[in-house]
Amino acid sequence: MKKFAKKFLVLSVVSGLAASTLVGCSQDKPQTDNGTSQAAGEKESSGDTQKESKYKTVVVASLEMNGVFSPFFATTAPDNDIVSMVHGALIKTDRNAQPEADLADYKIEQVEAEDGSVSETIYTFTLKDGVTFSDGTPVTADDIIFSYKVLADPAYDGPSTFSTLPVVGMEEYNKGDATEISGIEKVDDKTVKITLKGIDPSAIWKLGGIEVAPKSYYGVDDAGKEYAKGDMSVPKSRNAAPMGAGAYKFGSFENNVVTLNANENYYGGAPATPTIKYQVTAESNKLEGLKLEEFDISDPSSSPDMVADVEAAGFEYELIDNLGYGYIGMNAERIPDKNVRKGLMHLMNRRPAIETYYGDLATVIERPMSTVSWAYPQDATEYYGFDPAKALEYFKAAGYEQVEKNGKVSLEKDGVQLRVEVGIPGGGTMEHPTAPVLTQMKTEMEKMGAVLEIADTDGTVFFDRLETGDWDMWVAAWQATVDPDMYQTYHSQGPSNHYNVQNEELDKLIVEARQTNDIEVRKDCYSKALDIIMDEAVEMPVYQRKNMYVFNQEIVDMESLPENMTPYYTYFAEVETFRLK
Amino acid sequence: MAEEKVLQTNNQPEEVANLEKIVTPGQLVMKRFLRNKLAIAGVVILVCMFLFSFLGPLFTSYGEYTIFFVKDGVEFSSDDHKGMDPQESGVKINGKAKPSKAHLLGTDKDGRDILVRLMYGGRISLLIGFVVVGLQLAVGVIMGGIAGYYGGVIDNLIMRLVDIFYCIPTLPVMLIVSSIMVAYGVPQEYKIYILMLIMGILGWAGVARLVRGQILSLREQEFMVATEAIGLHPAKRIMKHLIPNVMPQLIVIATMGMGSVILAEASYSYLGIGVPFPLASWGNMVNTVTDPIIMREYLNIWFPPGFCILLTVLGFNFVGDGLRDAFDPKMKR
Amino acid sequence: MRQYIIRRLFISIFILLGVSAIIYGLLRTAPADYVSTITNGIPDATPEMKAKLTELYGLDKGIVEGYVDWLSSALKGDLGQSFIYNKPAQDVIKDKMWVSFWMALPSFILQLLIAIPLGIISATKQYSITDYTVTTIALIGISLPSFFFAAVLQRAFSMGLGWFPLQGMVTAREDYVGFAHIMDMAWHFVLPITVLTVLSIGGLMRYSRTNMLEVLNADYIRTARAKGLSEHKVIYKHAFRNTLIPIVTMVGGMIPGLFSGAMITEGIFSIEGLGYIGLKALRSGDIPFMMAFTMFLAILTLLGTLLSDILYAVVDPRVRLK
Repeated sequence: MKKFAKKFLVLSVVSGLAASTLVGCSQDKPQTDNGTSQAAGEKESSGDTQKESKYKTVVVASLEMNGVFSPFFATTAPDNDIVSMVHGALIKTDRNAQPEADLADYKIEQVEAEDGSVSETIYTFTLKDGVTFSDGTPVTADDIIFSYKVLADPAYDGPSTFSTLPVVGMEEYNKGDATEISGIEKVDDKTVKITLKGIDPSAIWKLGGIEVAPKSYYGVDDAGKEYAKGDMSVPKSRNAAPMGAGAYKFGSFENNVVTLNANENYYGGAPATPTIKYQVTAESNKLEGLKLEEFDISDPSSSPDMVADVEAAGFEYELIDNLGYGYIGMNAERIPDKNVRKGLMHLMNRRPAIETYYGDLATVIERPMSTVSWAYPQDATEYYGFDPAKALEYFKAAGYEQVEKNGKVSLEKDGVQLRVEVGIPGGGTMEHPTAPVLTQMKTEMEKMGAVLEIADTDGTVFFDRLETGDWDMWVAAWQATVDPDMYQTYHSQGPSNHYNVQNEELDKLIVEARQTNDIEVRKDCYSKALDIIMDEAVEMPVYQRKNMYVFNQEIVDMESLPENMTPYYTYFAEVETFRLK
Repeated sequence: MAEEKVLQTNNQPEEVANLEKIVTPGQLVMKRFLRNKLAIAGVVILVCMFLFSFLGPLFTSYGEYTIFFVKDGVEFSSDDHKGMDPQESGVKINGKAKPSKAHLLGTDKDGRDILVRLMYGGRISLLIGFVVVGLQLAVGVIMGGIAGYYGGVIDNLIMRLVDIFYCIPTLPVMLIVSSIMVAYGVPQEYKIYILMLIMGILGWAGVARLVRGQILSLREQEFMVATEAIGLHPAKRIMKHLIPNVMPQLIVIATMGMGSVILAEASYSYLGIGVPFPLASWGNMVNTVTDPIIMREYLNIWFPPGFCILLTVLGFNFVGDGLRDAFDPKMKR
Repeated sequence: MRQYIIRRLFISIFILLGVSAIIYGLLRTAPADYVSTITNGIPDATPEMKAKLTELYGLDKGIVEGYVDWLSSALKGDLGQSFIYNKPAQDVIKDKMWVSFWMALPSFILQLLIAIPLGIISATKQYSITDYTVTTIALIGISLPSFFFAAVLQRAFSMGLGWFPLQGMVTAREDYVGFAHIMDMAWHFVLPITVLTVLSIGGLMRYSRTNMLEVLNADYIRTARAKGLSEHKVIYKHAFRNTLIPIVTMVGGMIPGLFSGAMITEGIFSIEGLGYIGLKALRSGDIPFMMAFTMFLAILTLLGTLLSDILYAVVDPRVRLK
């Protein structure tokens, strides 16, 4: 491999020269950043105390990309990674999932109504001085408002849920003929004020988390056509080439490689690493590619074997808790009898499966919430242990009986056999930590005379059936949101309440927790709510795992990575100071 | 070279004998087939594979998806707890175990015995091969027979249908159909039959084309005129007089088709739409090869199913090749 | 012959209609549509928002109405905007088919250079050790699942020996231009091309062998031998030329297929060809792209058949197409 690299290097220098003489030198500077040995001899003038980096380019492994890098329309995580490098947001998260000023300082004020409840919440964002887009033009309040308006447009067909926020005037803009959103006001060139009806603890993320898009770029296409309400074609024309106020400028997406170049105009200072590239790779090759020096930073899925492999290869790595947890869910509408659900719960043998699959890299959790969250009750103990005898008791309590049928036992109620279908998004190959839990459950149920049908399918189909409430039982993972609010998932009116859990007390606790900012009160509410959810037997929490980030320390300067990384604050959280050796 | 000579000398007296004895065409085919050593090897391979898959499971007490656990070096399974509690802490799944006396080929990543799964997987893979090819032949022969025999408008209609099926890309359709199956909650045990049905339906066009072409040329021959003269029913004329004449080609297609169906199932498994978990098939077992860690360190997990596929498909191809050479009346050597 | 071609093209229109109707019907019956693809990761997506998206993407129309809409704009040459790429579907295909082509072409040439001579050699030495060895090796190639063979190659030549890159299309770290860029790409394409070649040699080799055997048994070959011509002359002057007729026909029919892409192999090697993005589109429910893609594949198949028929008439003067 080394040999080949050298050969190509020579070739490239020759052809580079040839090209420049022919074309008449179209580049400002000769091709210098193609590689390792060549760049070594170069020195750029710098008064920094830091010594000059030998490497100019770092390559990051990524899963497949759609090439839609628009802050409005990117849908997949790899595409969004690029968007967040190129675009800056008004606010960001700090290490503990609290909002922190990024491009703008923010202020939240609550307006109280006469009865003492909060009638309106006012958010004010003021852009910091010297914040510019990568083309050098300053970021203004108009750009922020433009970004909001695109997201709230009636014709907007991207993934953002901005239009569901209770902003004053949103309804009129999104569904009616209003030309402005009355609750979003420009105070001066740098300040935007947003008025929200009532209170919503998670709104700060939807308002401040947006990536600001320059109106002069996303609002006008190459042909000079301007964006108008109801027509997405102008913002969409920029999908493949984003431009924003992030630390990097978008270079190109060709041959499955994304090239990003440092943005000298970045308000936090010009980034120390000139070029970052993203190489698309298959999940299975994330470590092998690192070993072959095809990339320098990678996130292979963690397992004890993987850790051993990484250590054997001599790479440095970081293990960071995953923002989310794995669970097995049950649909209370399809399995209405609580006793049956409890019986099923007692058939799930989680520990050996998780210990085998993840070793030390995951822990079995006892409440359905990521342990990363401040609201997770650390003293929680096991609710349903693996106990087939107890399970059978519960099934019998639900009215099921074991009858002899054609020489086989059958667990029946009113002549109908107990039959449960479980969906698992194992990509058809059951590549899933929970797989042995289900396999064992199937065996245990067969012994009792019941049937467990395991339907392994790929993600889209799986979620589609989940959405329509079509699984009896399913295996999935929740991606935790920054705020532990449970309304979406467990409130009887919640849009993502796939469990169909309807519990008045639970509803009350959830609503109560939403109406205060006092962390202790909320913690208490959530702890009680979690117990109720466990008792309803609609969700078996399974594991909290760690993510693994592997670095080639020969190239990456490990000292320049942020200290105390958390799930909210990962290796590129301070990308402007990220440097190479 | 030496072998060739032996063969030739052996053949001489036989050919002389042939002149004296009457040799039926069947015997001739048989003789030509037996001369092909690869074809014989193919037959041997296939017989071994069948025995292994269909009789093998009778000699083991492990089930197809029995999970093995281990604690402090003591092994027990989900079928036989041996007085141990699978929930105790310290109990681990005996996954990726190296080959041992208890597990001759070790266990896979979920702690299931590989040898046993290989047998059950063979059953499924071979079954799929037979059923799918059978379906393709049945549909193909009927449609091709009708088209070739009647000609005219019917022929035209059927052949356009054949063209359409010929142009439908298989893989995308399989992916769509499998997601439709999941969506409509087709019970797992039927899924595999539907899978076979779809594979059969998508593959009949080639057979129909061949049958039609053959029948078109046979139709004009004297013996067919004779059957018409004595007033045989068309169905009988097709089945009794036309199809037997196409049979040699059909047998060849069928044998080779069997191999490609097994391969196709493996590809479907790779894309996650093959034989559903926790049933084993060679295709879904060989998938593990794409995990670099398993690939590098656990030869016992990925190699056996890969080798079984290779041998079986090779066997079918050998036999198919041999049959074709043997059936071809133009082959005089 | 011109009449024949016109007739075939006319029939093709009906075939394409049939294929498109079947595929559209299937795609729309499939459960996971594009809206659920983009919203299923978002817990706070309201049903209202989803309903609106469904309307914006035109997925609220019935299957028949949707098909008629698609057809009428397709006839005007507009295959619709790909949902994923937000670009006209035909532009996406035009972009990516060349990647697939440049991967398939070398493999195709190699296949011809290897398979045809092997087939002829093994036919002339039927039932010899050479025949057995060649046949076995060629058949091993077609007896392996592609992903299996690809993984073994990656293990041996990339992870093991480090001769070739594991995947990808270019060396991301470098910014090669011009000739170096082409060489770099070629170097990345070695393993995928090997996979494609080995996987398809068997078929063509077997085809050449059978045809050669048939020719060798023909009366005119016996006559040639009886005349006392040398074996070399018999085989290469008389037999080989006649074997070429069916081979040229078959090979000609394969050419359009070079653009169709290889779903599995491209995926394994992270090569952004037509197969790779086709699979992605299929998984996320990108209906306009899938329709364009399957139509493209169908047209390639039809072209292949037509081409092989025409070649048949060109190469063999006895054949008259009508």
